[in-house]
Amino acid sequence: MSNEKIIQEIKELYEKYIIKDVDEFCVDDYNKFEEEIWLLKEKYQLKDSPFLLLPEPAREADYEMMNASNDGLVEPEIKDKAIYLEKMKISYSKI
Amino acid sequence: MARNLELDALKQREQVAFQRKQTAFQKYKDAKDRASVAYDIMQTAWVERSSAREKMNREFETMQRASDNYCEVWDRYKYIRDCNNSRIESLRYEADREHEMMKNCFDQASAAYEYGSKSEAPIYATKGHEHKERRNELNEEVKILIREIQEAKASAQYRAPKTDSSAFHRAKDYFESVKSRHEIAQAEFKRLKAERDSLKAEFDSAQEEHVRLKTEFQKRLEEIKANKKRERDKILDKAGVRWSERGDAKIVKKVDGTTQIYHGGFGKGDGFGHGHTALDQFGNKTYDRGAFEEHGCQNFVNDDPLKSYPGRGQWGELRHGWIDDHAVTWCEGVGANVGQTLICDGHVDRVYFDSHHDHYGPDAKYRSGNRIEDITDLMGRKKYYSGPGK
Repeated sequence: MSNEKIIQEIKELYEKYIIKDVDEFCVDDYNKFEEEIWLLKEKYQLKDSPFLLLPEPAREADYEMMNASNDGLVEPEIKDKAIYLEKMKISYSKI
Repeated sequence: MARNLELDALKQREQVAFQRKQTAFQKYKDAKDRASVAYDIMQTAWVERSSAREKMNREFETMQRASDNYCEVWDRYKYIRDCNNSRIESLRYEADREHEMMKNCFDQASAAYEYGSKSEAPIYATKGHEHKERRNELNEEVKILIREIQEAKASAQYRAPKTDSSAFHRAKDYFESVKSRHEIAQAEFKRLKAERDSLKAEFDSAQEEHVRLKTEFQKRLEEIKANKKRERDKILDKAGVRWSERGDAKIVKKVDGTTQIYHGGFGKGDGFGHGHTALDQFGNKTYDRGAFEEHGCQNFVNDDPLKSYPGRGQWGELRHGWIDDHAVTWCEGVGANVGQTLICDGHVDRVYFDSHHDHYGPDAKYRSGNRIEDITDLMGRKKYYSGPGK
């Protein structure tokens, strides 16, 4: 198991689901990103949550998106998406 | 209970009218107090004026009495003077005549002694002396009459000196002064009384308006209460709640359109041992448990099959269910959301649920040590679940 590999995989998940224009981004991208990040826990036999590996302000962005999308069940408003993506791009830039 | 906007508006208008009435009353009261003070000042000035008038009248009477006395005394003197003067004139005329007659007698006595019968001379001389004596008596009487006049004048001067009107004039000046003060005070009182009367009219008008609005509000309130009672009776009729339990029955309308009726409990409708009846959004009875009866599926009237919907995102199957007698729709988290629950009141559909649920559980993703509901609540999320363990 290599940290570098996990980081690389997280980076790719960012690029696949998050690093997008706001018009392209949808709630399914958010859900898939969440799902696949969580799968890393089993894949790499992580003792702790893989979400802890996401640089800030990923956590703050996640909480906000949780409210904006009603826990991933409804499509958030454009402005909420824009705020989320902006913060997640900052997080991505720190990887 | 939902607020009635019309009733709120009526109440607000009544309260505005009440405030207006209170303000008008305060203004009226202030004006009344000012008028009362002015009245007291006017009354005090009136008492002073009355007192000054009485004093002035007394001084006038005193002066009048002195004047009457003066006239009486001096009239009496004039009477004496005029009577005596008339008599004196007559006496002087007679004395002058006696004097002339005396001179003639003495002249005849002298002529008789020198040129005629000397024996006639003493006769003429005696007559001359008689006239002289008579003349002197008359002059003496004139003197007495003159002295009488002088004494009468001295007596009049002593008994009736010239009238002194200064006390009356001082009293009159003082009366004019307090009269002026009273008239000023009276004018001020009249002005304040007019202001008070005007403000009283404003207050009466405001009070009338308040009473009208209060009556209107009360009337509408009674109508609404009557409507609510009719609606309550209708619900209780549909629920079949017995008459003995109706007074304390508690009716709760849920956001999902169902109506929950709690009845027959100790103390109050939803007290210990209460019964529970539920009506769906169409008024059909779906659940009915009598007071102190057991909980269980036997209480579901139409016992429709509970529905479920496929899972979405990081959430498992969405299901209808019950927590005690509380209908709920809920799902459990999977993957990143494992250990968490979404839940809302009532048996609702997927679309409604997605936008109207609460989120409970530990923050497994970020291990913040907080619970998700605390984090999302802080961010302003609404609550849609009101059942046990909320």
